[in-house]
Amino acid sequence: MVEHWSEKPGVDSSILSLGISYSHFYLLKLYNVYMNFQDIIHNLQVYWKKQGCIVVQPYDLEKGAGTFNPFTFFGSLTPKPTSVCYVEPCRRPADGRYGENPNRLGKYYQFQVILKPSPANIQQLYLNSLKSIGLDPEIHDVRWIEDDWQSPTLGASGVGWEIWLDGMEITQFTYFQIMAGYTLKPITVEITYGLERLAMYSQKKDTIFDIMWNDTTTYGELVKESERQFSHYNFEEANVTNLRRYVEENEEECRTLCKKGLYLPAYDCAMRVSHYFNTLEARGAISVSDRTNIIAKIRHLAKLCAGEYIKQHEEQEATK
Amino acid sequence: MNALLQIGTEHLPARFLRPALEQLKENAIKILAENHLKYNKLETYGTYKKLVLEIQDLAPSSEDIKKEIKGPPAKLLKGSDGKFTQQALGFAAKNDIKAENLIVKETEKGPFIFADIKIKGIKTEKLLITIFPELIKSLNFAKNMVWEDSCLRFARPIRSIIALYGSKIIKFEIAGVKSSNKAYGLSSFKQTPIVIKSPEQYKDALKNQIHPILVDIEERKKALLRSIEGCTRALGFSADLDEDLINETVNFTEHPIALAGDMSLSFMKLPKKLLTTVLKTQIKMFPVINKKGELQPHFIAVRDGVSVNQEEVKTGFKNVMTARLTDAVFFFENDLKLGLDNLRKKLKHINFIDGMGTMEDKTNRVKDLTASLAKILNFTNVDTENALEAASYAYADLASSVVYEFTDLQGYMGGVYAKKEGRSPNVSTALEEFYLPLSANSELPKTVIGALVSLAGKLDTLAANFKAGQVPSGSQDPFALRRQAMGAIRIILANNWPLSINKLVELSSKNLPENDNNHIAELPEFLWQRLQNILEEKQIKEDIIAAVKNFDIPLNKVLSNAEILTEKLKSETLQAVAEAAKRVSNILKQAQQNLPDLNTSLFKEKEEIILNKAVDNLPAKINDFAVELTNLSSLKQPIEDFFAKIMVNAKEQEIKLNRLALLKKIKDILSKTANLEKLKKRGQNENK
Repeated sequence: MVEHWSEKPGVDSSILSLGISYSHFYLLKLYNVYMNFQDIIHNLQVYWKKQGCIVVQPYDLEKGAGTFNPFTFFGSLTPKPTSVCYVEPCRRPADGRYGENPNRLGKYYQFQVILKPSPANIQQLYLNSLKSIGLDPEIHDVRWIEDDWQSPTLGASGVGWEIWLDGMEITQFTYFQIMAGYTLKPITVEITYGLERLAMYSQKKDTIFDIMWNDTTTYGELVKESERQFSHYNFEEANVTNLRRYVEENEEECRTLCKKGLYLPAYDCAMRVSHYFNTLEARGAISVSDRTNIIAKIRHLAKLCAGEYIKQHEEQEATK
Repeated sequence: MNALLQIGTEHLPARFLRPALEQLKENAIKILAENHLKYNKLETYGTYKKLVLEIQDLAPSSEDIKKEIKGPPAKLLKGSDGKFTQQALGFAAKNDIKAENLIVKETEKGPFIFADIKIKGIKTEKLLITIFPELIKSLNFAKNMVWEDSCLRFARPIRSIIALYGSKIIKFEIAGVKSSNKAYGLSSFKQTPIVIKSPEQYKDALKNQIHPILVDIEERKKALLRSIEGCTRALGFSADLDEDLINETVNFTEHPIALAGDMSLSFMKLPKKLLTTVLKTQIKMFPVINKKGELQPHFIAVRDGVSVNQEEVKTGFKNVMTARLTDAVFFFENDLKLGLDNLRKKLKHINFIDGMGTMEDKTNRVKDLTASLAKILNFTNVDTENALEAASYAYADLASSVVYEFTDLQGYMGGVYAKKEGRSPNVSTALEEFYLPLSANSELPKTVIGALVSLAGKLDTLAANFKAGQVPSGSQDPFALRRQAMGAIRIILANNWPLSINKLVELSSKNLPENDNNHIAELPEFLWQRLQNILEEKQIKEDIIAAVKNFDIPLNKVLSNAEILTEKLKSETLQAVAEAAKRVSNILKQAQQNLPDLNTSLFKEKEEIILNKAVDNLPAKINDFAVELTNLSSLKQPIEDFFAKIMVNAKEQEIKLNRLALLKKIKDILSKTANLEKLKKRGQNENK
């Protein structure tokens, strides 16, 4: 049943004219077996909303991973309980392939769930979330492969797994232990879904570009040109001198703002430093020792922001 | 009655399982002994979600303990009035017995009052309330985490606990989890509890589910092998049953079920090791081979406990495998397109170690070193050329995409690329063998050219690290220099190459950049330590190793010298010479350092003259250790006579110094052969 659809990438309008195929398609959708990209996002949001999460919108700055989102970064630092979920666009300049390699993108989407404290039935909650997007763990092979996450730029690390569905990595599941150098208590759990992978699996597509975003438009149609242009920019056109200057300016501004207690705009600066660094790296302008130095620099900035936030939070708690 | 503890966790890393179960067993044995609890049998088993301890015939209570407690001296038992003293009464009360039951016993310090007391055993179900949590807390993993308020450290969160003694639940709470009698089924299914009525039913209860769980590791392993064999038999082939992958698979499934799938023929063009590495390490699948061991276009994947929806799951596995292998093909073809020459050019952008240049610099040094060694070892022109070609590409594959993705394939890929470029098989094999041996006892390069280039690479790595001040100490050896040194020495010995430690250090350090942290002076001793390990493995005695220690003679000569000396020491004459050597050495240690030249006209006694003559009459050194040792025997009598008759510390300073000069002469001549003074006195039966 499912394979039938994989033969036909553009099922949409032609189906409407064919009564039998339409009901076939309808049935698949009814049982949530086949799901458009946008529906996967929607269903995950609905599912986690029901679990009590605030559904927030993506943070409007370039970042290499959802963990950079302030809800994740600051959210994990203090004892204040958190339950949020959001889609997060991630930019990895070095991963772009001019829109020519259908499985490598310079920009893609993660769906993040952040829960603190981590509920005892969190694994079951996660498995149920797969059901909500049509992937029944009882008939697939779901494997939890040891994968302890760490981010040298954020000075963060955690313990957890990457989760494989029939061999494909679809989720990173992490119990944060340290963020920005601070040992955490209580522990935050971070679930990061790879949305493109999930969609490819759900829709039986071999490439990201063939994923149906909705019934009529493919993922490729929406992003190919952007992939092409940004690859040119990141690999060939990005002005190295300017980028280096941006790194310095933002670093300085981050420090200044932290001193003034404005940790949120300061953290924006730290994120920018990280993104410009990633672009410099894609541009091939970073030597080995450069790399270590800049990463240490970003880690330090993240720690400054985190420290300022913790300080202010504690002061507020004390005056309550 | 039997007892059962099951720690139900979230998915433990497969590699943690065995060590955890071993620890659980060891710690249980220890804690039960400490609590005086007897049992018949104790075993641990489990899955990545269940660590289980089962104790058979655990006694209903701990044993009564008899104890003798020492009190005050016996004279304090009763006063002059015949009544118990205050001290005696107090002591009795303290130990909860009647004063009449106190006894007096002799001790080394005289008679004392004693109380014989009996500590009643405690009920097992009460003891287990503390023993079980203590056991859980006693487990230590390679990596731990915290996840809840009590901050218990464990490998992964604990989510359920079964604690039973007979049918009774041992109630406690740890990390927010209350103990119960409920187990849970396969992780992907709705977690409905399975009630375990008693410890002995545990295994079967889990096995008799709709989706059975095999908690016993061996049973799971058998099931896995059976299941794989079922798949491969249908294909008419067999699986490449990599031991590590088998164990890993057994430990990340609760009930392994294999399924076979096909692989596109186009992947068969990948080098064998590259293909199997992708399958085994990246996606944990078993390659399929025919009787000759040749790869076949199939794969075996393993699912956990489920065999429904096989076709769709298989397609999923196949897609993942196809994506990974397509990547591998892409990397491989890219590398081939670039070729070794272009890959080598990239080495100037890869740093070796701080202060020791780039990998290009290292390549040039290794090439020079190869040339010097080839010359010393009289390699033919053709062999030298081949070795130099191999040396100049030795690190080229480090710049390849394949090795960047799969570090373990370094060397192997260099060999593959060289072959593809039509280079001489001598060169491609040498590249393939470049990193051998991979461990202390594993195989060495088989070809002489491979061995030479491999040796040069290792020597440069060693010398460069020492020159940069990176010397291994204790357990700190991040660059595995001990292994590299061992490899270098094994290669030299296996090829019987006449290279001494000092020569190796001299050749390998001559082209290195200057460095403020230079520790190169420690390298000879470091190499010697490895050679010493080899000698010790050959059961050579420690003092003999010290006696033949020599950085200026070829390594294989050191080895044969050690064997010859062991043999020759059976002769009492040589033993006597060794004793004399020790005496000479001790006297000289006490004496001043700058002795005058020997002056024969200052000899006063015939023993001096005879000894000097005996030394002069020793045949010239002839590079035959056995003969040299035999020749030294001629010194035995003259030395013994000398010490018997002559006072070295003569009154006249001049004569005394001259006698010391004679001893020095003896010492020098002896040490040209061996450090005989290091030898210990042989016992009657030793070396016989």
